[in-house]
Amino acid sequence: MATPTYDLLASTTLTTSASSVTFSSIDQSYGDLILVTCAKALNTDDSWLAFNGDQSAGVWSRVRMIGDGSTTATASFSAQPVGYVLRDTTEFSVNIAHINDYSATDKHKTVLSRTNTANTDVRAYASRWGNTAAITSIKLDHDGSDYQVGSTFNLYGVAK
Amino acid sequence: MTMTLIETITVGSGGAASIEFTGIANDLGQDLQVVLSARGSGGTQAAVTFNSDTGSNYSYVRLRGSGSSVLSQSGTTTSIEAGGVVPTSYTADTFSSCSFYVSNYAATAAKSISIETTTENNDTSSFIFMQAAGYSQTAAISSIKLANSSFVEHTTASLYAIS
Repeated sequence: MATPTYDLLASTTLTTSASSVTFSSIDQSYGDLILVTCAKALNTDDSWLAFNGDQSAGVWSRVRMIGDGSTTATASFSAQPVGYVLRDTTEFSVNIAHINDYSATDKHKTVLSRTNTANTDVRAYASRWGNTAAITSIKLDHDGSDYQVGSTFNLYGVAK
Repeated sequence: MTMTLIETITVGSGGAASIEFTGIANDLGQDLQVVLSARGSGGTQAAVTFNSDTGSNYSYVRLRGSGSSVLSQSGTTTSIEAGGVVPTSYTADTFSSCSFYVSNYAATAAKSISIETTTENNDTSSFIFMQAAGYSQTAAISSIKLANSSFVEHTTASLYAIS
C-alpha cells in the first residue's frame, strides 16, 4: 500500500487562549492544503476561515448539511466566509478542511470541510471563495470567544 | 513531517472476529488515522474500542444517507460503531471504505474522532456515514480494536501516524 505524504507547513498549540490563529506566508509549491484543528471555545458560536484576510461580503458562499442525532438539515449562504464551527464548550471538536488548488491564480477556491462534535452535531460544508488570488494566509477566527488552551491547529501541504 | 504507515493487518483465510493494533507508542505523532476495507458476517458495524475499554465511554452523532433517505442518530455506547463493514449478503467481492481520524491521541484529555464510511453494494442498500465520535477517557491511546462477528478474508486495516 502506498504511503501518502503530507508535509506539515505550520503547527500551533495554544498555551494561552487566543481570539484567532493565522497561518501566513504559506508555501506556494504544493497542490492542496489540509487544515486539521482540534479546538474548543467558550461559546457555541461559529468559527470562520478567511483567506488573505478577506472577510468581505459578496465573495463567499457555502452550502452545508447537519445531523444532530435526531434531525437533519441543509442550508446555503452567501456573503459568509467558510464555516468552521465549534459547537461545544467542553469537548474538543475535530475539524478537517481540504483546500483545493490553493495556489492557482485562474480559479475561485473551493473548500470541503467537516466539523465533528460528538456531544452536539456533525457537519459538512462546501464553500467557495470568489477570488482567483493564490491563498497566502489563512485566518481562523471565533465569534465572541477565544480559542482555549490545548487547542491545536495544523496546516499540511499535499504534493502536486 | 508525514503521514506514516505504522501497520497494515490483512485478514487471512478463515476470517477473524477482530483486528487489533496494539503497542501504539505515544510519540508517533500528533494524530492517528485508521483506514479500513472490510466485509463481514456480523452486520455493517465495526465496533471500535480503545485500550481494551468496553465501558460506556464512547459517544457519537452521525448522518447516514442511503440514497433515498437521510437520518441522524446519536448516543452513548460501549464502543464506537464506525460502520465500515459490507455484510456478506451484499454483492460478492464488495468491501467497505472507512476512515477514522483520532486527534491528539496521546494527549491527557478526552479524544475526538472524525469518521467517514461507505458500504457500497453495486445496487441498493448502500450507505454513507459521516460521524463525530468522542472517547471520554484521558489516557493515551495505546491500542485500537475493531470487532465484527467475522471479518472475511482480504479485509484490511491500516494504521497511520500523522506528525
